Amino acid sequence: MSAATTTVARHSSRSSGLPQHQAERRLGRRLLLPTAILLTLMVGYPIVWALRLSLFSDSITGQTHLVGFDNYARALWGSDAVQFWAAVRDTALFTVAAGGLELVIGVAMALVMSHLGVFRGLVRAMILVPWAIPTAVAAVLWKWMLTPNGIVNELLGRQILWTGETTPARTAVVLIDVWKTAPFVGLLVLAGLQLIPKDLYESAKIDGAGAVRRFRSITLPLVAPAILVAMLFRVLDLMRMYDTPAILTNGANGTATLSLFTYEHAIDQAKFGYGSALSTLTFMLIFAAAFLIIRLCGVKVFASDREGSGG
Amino acid sequence: MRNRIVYAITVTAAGLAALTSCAGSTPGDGAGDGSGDSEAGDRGPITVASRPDTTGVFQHLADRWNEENPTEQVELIEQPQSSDETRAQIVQNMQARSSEFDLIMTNNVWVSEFAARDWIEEIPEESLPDAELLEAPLDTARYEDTLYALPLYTDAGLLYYRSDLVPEPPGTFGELMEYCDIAEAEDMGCYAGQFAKYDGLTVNVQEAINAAGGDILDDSGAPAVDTPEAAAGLQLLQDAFEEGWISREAITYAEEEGRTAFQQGRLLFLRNWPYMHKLASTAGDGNVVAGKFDVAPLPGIDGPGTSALGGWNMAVSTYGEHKDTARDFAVWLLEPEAQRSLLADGSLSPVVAELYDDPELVEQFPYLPALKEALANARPLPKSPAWSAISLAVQDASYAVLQGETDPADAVRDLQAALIDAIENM
Repeated sequence: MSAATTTVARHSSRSSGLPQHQAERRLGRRLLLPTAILLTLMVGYPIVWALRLSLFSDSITGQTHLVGFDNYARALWGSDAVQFWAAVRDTALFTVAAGGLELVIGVAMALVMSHLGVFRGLVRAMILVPWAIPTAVAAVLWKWMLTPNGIVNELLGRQILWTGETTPARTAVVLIDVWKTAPFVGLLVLAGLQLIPKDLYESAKIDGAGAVRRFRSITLPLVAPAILVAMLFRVLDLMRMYDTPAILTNGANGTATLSLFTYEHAIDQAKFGYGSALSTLTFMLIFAAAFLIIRLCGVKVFASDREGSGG
Repeated sequence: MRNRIVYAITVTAAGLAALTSCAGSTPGDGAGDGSGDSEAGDRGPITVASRPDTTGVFQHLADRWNEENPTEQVELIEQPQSSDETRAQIVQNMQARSSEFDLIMTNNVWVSEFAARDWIEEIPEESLPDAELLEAPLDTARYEDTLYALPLYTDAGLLYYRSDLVPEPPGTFGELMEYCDIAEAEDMGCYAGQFAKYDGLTVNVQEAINAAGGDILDDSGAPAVDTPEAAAGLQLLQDAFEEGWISREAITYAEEEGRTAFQQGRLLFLRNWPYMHKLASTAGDGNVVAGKFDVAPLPGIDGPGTSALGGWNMAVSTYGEHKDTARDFAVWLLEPEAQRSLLADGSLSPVVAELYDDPELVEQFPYLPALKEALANARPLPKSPAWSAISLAVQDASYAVLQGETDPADAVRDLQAALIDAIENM
């Protein structure tokens, strides 16, 4: 490998007479090419293939033909528009509600964990138990706990139809996701917290800054990149939410997420063209959300980061 | 920065070129050459996509076959308990034209679709065994008057009732409601079925619509749900929820939730499948109804009700390797001895008519006479390649009715439009 590298480097610099660093850069690019092609195939191929499929009709006889954007029209303003937009609304609701709660609770968990000292390892392991349970298994467990005569109603002393009415069903989906994923957010934020140098706090203390001031002026800005990453993960994940509502309610009572809606058509009904159109729409929505988050928050976070390191 | 953009474009273009080179065929082009007439040499070991074998009866039968046919061994590959997941597995295999399964156990509602997609082989009528098969289950194995599968076991809904509290089983919903005072006095729910939003709801809604004299599809397979009768069927369920003789919590019930409630003594009447009989007869584990319940055919509105027909069939995969062996094994499972074993060892309802009158079996399975009557009147679920879309449309429309959000007359009108759309777009 190193022999080949030097040969190529010597060869290119001799033949073209380019300055050494430019030749090296070109070589570097060439060496990256196989990985780049592999990545393109792995990431790009399914995307392009789905895009292509989404332009074809579905037919039980297997005779499909190009229909342009008919599949998209069906979802966006055609015969499925009501269900599609309801799914967008439900997905957005879950993303905002669960994402927001997970962020607040996760940050709180991280702050507690970072101050624990000796027991940190133990608490960190315990707190991750819900995260280690597969979502589908957790959903089944919760489903049984949430039955009308289940343990949750028993403890609350009330008769709530958790899976049979809109508000309780949505609440249940959000709470199950928060229960499961807030610890994960907590761990990501904890990693960010542990990177903050202790002497910053000490000098702030010497300068007379109180606990609130130290949190606002040191902790928050320095942990912001970690929070942003956690938030991105959660938003991308929540917008693809499937398991919990599929098992808990099968999409009834205002819990039909986009993924559930897509699954019903792409898998249950084996409509791969229409299903691909729905996946593409979901992909575009997620992409837009990620873009917005990075644009609105990322610029600020990374700008302040640069300021911080510069000053 | 510019370099990076140029680079990205180059890489993308390379990817696209790679794509187009292997994208020669039209997506979903089903005109494969995997099908074709089965040749004389289509014999050898086979694999069967089987229902989960919780009782061991399928393995027991396969072992017996394997003893007699050493060169044509049967291997069972158990599929998930959930019908939906099983379907997803089979669809994935068929889509990939995989030869993994030679024989598949299919829910009877999938036969039309699998046949229309050319995933399963036609079965010559001559292959049918001599023993008389029940007509209704056999008919679910036909698509456009051609046999594409063989029935394996069948299923019909029964009315489970507390014989210690109710002297005579009700024949109609009117009679059933009169018993609800007993339920109230005992502080229990009166009636329940499967009303959560899933395929079980489609079954219960069809039964209510049939009871009122309506139908979802007509005999030719065209949507026929926009009728006063169908609306009356939905109205019955809506009123039941409003008046409380179906308790509120039944909106969350699938089979198991209902069974649990019945076994805990919280329900007077329950519509469920025969599988529950054995479980509810076994005392212990919170079951307080062992020996205190009986079964009857489902109630109707003016007379006895009409059950929807459940059950599973066997179909020979188009992409399997040993199709003759697969078909022979399926036919062998229809022999009275094998069918008796399905019932005796697996509590599955046989499709051979004579077993329902077998005194020994009736003694062991007291629900057989009621089941025989239910099966004689049972109606198949919508028989269409668009079953999944149809079932989903029925669930969407009827769930809103049960929740009191939609008027039944509006619901059947919208459902009719949705069904037409589902069939046109399949």
